[in-house]
Amino acid sequence: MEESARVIYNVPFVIPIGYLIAIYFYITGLHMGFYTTSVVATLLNKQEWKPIGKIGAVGALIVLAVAPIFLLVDLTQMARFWHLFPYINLRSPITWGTFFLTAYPPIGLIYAWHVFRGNYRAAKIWGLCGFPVAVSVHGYTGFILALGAGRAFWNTSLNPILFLVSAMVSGLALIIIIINIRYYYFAKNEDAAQKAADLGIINTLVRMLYLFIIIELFLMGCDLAVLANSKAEEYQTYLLLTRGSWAPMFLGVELTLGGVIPLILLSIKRIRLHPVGQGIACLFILCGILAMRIIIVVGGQSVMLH
Amino acid sequence: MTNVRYGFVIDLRKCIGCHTCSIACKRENAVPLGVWRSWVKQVEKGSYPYIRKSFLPILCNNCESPICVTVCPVKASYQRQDGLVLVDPHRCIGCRYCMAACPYDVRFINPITPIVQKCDWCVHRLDRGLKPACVEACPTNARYIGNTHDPQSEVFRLIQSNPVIVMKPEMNTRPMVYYINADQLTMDARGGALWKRVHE
Repeated sequence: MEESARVIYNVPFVIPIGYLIAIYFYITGLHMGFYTTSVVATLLNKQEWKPIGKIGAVGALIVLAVAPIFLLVDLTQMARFWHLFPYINLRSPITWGTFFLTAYPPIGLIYAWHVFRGNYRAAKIWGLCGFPVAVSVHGYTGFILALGAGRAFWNTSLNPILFLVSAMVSGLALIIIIINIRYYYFAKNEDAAQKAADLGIINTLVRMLYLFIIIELFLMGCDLAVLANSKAEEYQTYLLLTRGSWAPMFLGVELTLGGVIPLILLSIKRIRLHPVGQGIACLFILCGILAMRIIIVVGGQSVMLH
Repeated sequence: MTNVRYGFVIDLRKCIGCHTCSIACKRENAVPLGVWRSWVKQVEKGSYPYIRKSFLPILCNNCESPICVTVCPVKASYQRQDGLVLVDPHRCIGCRYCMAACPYDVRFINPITPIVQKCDWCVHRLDRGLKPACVEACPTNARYIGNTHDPQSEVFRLIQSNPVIVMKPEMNTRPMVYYINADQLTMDARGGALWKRVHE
């Protein structure tokens, strides 16, 4: 009986969706983290949280202004991007993304305007109105992967949730870095009470970050467990991630550098309360989430299909 | 509504792995270097001195439920009533989502145009009553195309009277390329190497 076979001729497989899209997913994740933190800060309606609301609102607008550039550059027929508007296919997650990416900028601008003008009642209303859109701007990217039925690593309902959680992790990490920079370089003239409040806010954000890292690691563990005990293509993806060419990036950068090490650092009180410790942990997290996006998008297409 | 539903049958008992189909396809459709609409995968089975080669011609399955059509954001990929899945070259924006979503990896970016292309079973020939170039060129008549709804057609008879299998039936795409005498090791993307590793 023939037990195995060797493929001696086949056409080479290509990875259709590459690094630009992975970076786009990363940036929309940062956007969601920024916006969510900003809206939470606005809803709290406390004086000391107002700087966070402003940083988040502006940060969300800036990153979302950059993100579509990656999408456009990635198209092989860039001049035809406008086809996305008249030729709508409601079954395609990219079409959903077109709606969300178009709807967010005006809502985000109005929200930011009210936050900076100090109209907190209006800011709350617009913030809440924009929240589902802002979440969807990143959430739809998870659906792009989940509905890509041909790829075992993509085709899981965990992906949209994992993307949202990791977006919160990366957004919070970047906000903590920005707030620390603001606190130590631009808020020297603040009074002692405001400074103490700022430190309290940073602590709260770090705790939130810690919680989201745990959720993210749990979801990744679930994903891995299913891959390891599923069909041949899923198992091959599992091998690729744990023993194959993507193992150093997955185990080394995504899980260890971007997940376990920050978790350990933030568990130690002296490091958690120190701005340098927070900064290092957050930088590691940002690297880890970028690695995660690349692994899911590019690594997920690295399994031969024919 | 048309009652035509094209289907493709490849009789692997007859395939000799000569690649004439691949070359005929390249010539007919002006497929550039480095990309293929249709090709023949070659697999070596067994160990010395008991070795034998298997061939698996691969082409677009023109699935009954094509994922590529579902995910295309601009409806550049569409399905005709006779089941053929085509790409509108004037509408495709080159997002390549269809390529990533296709479970059979049979789509490619034409490096010259540059838009997504794939095997369309030589629709320009079918519409004129001709057979696809690969079917015409096959020296052993291993390839058949016809209406799967017509009991008088050759493909209907072959599908009904032979044990046929399709690629990745678990994907629920209902592929319309039927293989006679294909085996799991040849169909497997890694020639059964992974299968062996999992189960040994």
